[in-house]
Amino acid sequence: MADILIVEDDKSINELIRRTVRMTGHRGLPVHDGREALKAVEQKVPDLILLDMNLPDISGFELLKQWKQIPVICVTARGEIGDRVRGLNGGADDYIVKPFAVEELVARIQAAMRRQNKEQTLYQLGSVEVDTSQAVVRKEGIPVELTTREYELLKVLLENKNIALSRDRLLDLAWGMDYCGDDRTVDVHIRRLRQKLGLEEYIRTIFKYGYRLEI
Amino acid sequence: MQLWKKNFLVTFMMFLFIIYGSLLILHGLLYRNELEQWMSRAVSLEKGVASFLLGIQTGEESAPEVNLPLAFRGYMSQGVKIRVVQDGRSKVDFLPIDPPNEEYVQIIKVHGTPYVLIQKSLENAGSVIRLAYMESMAPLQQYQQRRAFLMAGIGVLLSAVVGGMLYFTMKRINRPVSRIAHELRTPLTGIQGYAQYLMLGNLSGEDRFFAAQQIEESAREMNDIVEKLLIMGGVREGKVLMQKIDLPRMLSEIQNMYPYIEVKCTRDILQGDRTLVRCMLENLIQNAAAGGGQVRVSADDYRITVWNDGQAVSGKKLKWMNRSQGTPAVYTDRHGFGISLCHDIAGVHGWKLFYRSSEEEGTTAEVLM
Repeated sequence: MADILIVEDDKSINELIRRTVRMTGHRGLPVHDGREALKAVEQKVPDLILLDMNLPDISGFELLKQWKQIPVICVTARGEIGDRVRGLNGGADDYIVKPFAVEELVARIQAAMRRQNKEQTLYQLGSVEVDTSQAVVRKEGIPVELTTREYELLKVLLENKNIALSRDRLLDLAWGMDYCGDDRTVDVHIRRLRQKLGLEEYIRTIFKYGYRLEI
Repeated sequence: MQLWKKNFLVTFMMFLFIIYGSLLILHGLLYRNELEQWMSRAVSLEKGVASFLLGIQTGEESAPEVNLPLAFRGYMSQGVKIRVVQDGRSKVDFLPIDPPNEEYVQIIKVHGTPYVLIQKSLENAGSVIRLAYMESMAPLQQYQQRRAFLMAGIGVLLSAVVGGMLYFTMKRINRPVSRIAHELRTPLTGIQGYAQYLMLGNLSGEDRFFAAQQIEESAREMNDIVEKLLIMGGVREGKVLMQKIDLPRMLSEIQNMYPYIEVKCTRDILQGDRTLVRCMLENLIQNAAAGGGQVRVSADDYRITVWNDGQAVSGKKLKWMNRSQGTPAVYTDRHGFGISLCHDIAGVHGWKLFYRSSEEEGTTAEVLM
């Protein structure tokens, strides 16, 4: 579980980001201005910082200069090319523009964690253990044979645990953007995963939408 | 380049085209008019010379001979040059050049100076007199040049003034628009984000309630921004409805929204647009309340003041707050253009809004009437 510092002066959006971070299985540490952020980093260096560039006291660009060794994702309403380039050249690892999709924020956080090798690789679902670093799935200690697609689908669900994913989204993530098949393929593979691993209680169907892995 | 700057350039170029085109046409018309008058005058003078020549040609042998060169020398000082040829013999020749052709009236240039040249043949008492009259147009030319420079100067001055006004007006219009668009993104983020959170997350009933609350709050915030935008648009179009406002009652209604503020009002009636004045007062009081601490509102015949004893405003921010053109969002309240709107509302009423702040005296927003 990584510590992610959330620097955002708008309390409502700060809370939204904190809850989103919690959904990804990490710990969100909210602060509401630049000074609080500097103090928080001094006390404990976080694994990732989500930074609003338009803070009331200190400019986000000034803060970026202070945090060259810490990965930072800029979260801001300033979406013009000039601002993005300035942010990225100023030391940000990634840039997301408001209003953002929650899914996009989750994906960027996970990408940042992957780059630091801080993503979670070991998952426990009851008697099922999944080790994504070795691509091994065990049930009650015994390795279980899964097809490539079944494994990829399970991995996508684990990486987006507690987040509902549509059938289309699951197809894109597990099969790739080039795949042109029917989204009923997803239903078939979900049924197989449930049967092989006994994950009926973990993989929940979201009516008329898709599936969510609940841990 | 930003769109408003492109619009400014196009509008300014059109304006330049119109102003300089008009000045050019005006100059041309005036020149034509003056040239016609000049030519008429020259033809009249030439006729006078011709009459004189005919008058002295009586055909009588006993008539005394007139010294023509001496008689016409006076014309030289006026820039007029005359040539008289009688029966093939030159009587007077002050012309600097030979006429290029036999045209009656023409304009020629000699050493860069324009001249009007009038030629005609006169017959009297069996004698043929060829008269050539040449008058310098240098004074007319100089006058035209001076006027052209003056008009160009007027054009430049007019362009600079109007161009400057146009630039700052378009900038002033654009700044709130871009700031409002930017400010709308914050509540939009809340609405979109929490709606997706509701759809995607594995949530408890409490989480769902919280998310719904945040969506409602963000929607209200968007509505607030849109209301301010509409009011700002109305103010800038000059839509002001002057009414008698019961000021103590208005302040009492606002006090119901902020029960902890103190209100002291010694003025009964205020002349102004009720909606705009209410908007301005609410903005000022909201900002004071956000500043923290005590808030005191007082109104008399000359001013309305809103005071709070929260943290003093920095010099840079205070400077921006006292600018009626608008204050950057980073220096102001949540929306960033509430103060600008207050300045606009005060302005359309002929009032002046002024901020002052210090650690000892707190922060005061004063509307002087």
